[in-house]
Amino acid sequence: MRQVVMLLAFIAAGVLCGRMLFDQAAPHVAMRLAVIKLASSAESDAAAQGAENFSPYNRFLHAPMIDETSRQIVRPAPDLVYSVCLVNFEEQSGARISAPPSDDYASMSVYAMNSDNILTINSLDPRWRSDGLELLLLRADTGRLPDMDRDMIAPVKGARAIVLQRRILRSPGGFAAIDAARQLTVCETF
Amino acid sequence: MRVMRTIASLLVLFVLATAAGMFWRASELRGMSERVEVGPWVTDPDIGAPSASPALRARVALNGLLAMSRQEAIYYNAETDSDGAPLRGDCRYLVQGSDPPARWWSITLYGQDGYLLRNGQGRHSLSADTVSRPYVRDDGKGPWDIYIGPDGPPDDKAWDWVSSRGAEAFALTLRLYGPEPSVMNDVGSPVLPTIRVLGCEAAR
Repeated sequence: MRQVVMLLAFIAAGVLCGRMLFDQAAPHVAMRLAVIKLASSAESDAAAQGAENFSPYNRFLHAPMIDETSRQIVRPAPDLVYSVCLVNFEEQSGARISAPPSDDYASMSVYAMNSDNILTINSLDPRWRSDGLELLLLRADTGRLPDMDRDMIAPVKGARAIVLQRRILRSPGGFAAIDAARQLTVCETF
Repeated sequence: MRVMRTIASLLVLFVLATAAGMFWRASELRGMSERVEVGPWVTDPDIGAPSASPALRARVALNGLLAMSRQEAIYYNAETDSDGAPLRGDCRYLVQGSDPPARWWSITLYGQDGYLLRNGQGRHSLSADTVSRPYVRDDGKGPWDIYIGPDGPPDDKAWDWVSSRGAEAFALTLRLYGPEPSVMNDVGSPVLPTIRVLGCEAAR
């Protein structure tokens, strides 16, 4: 009897461990899978276009108009135009995100690899609307921060992040102008 | 030798128990949310927030990866009509509302798999820019009707139509971008569209 009780307690401990492990691991796994999926898709597209030495990291990847063939991310919005930057500055000091002022709504969101939404700003914010947007992604343990608006600095643990750019597509005919505008946005390491 | 075998068996048992715990937690979180219901619409105010606890992060990762915080956008999902019946691809519905309290909004139809339907129409959503309004108020907003069904609305109805052709069941997502402070502070406060079933036989 005592052995049965001990065995059941052992199994219960395993189940509890599994539940706790899931909570810790799920966000990281979900984000890693998203990066793998997006990077793989970008590499395939680049290869199909004959691009050589293409890296899907540290550059904005501009998705085409969302339609019924879009299968990368669940519940994509056909009224939005998406661009994503898979940031990796493990070998560098940080990453810089910049965008010119926008006539229409655009947003820039930074997500940590544990899925936390670290920072979001939209183009109606005076800090973007006036002179354009500049965000810095720095290691979370960076001691001395540059002399700029602290709200424009995203602390990133592990030097990896996903930056997602969204723009409202008010009509299909507006896609060309939006596409031209987002080509001017920059995601680069330094 | 016998000791080694016992240790190995216990190890396998622990791994299986851990795996069972992980599957249990995943299925629990997939349906779990701090649900706020507004008629047939449901939202989770924690989606997109800078999360604090591991449990909340795990829930957000499963149910709203890469979503924005409610200060920027609020997402309402409907899988039933206003009477609580599941949304079906062979039924006809009228989504009636007025511009919600936000700078911009859209309503999008998704299949059961969470992707846009191959409905042959090429349209899957309507927004503040594309919906037809019979009249507008001084603030530029006004009421509208969106017809959802496998075939178009009756000829005498000037309703915007989003086709549900090809869906056995479907869901609607209402996105509010730039929500007004009253909605940011209480996601259950806005008046949201009703979803009324018109019938489930073949149209016309």
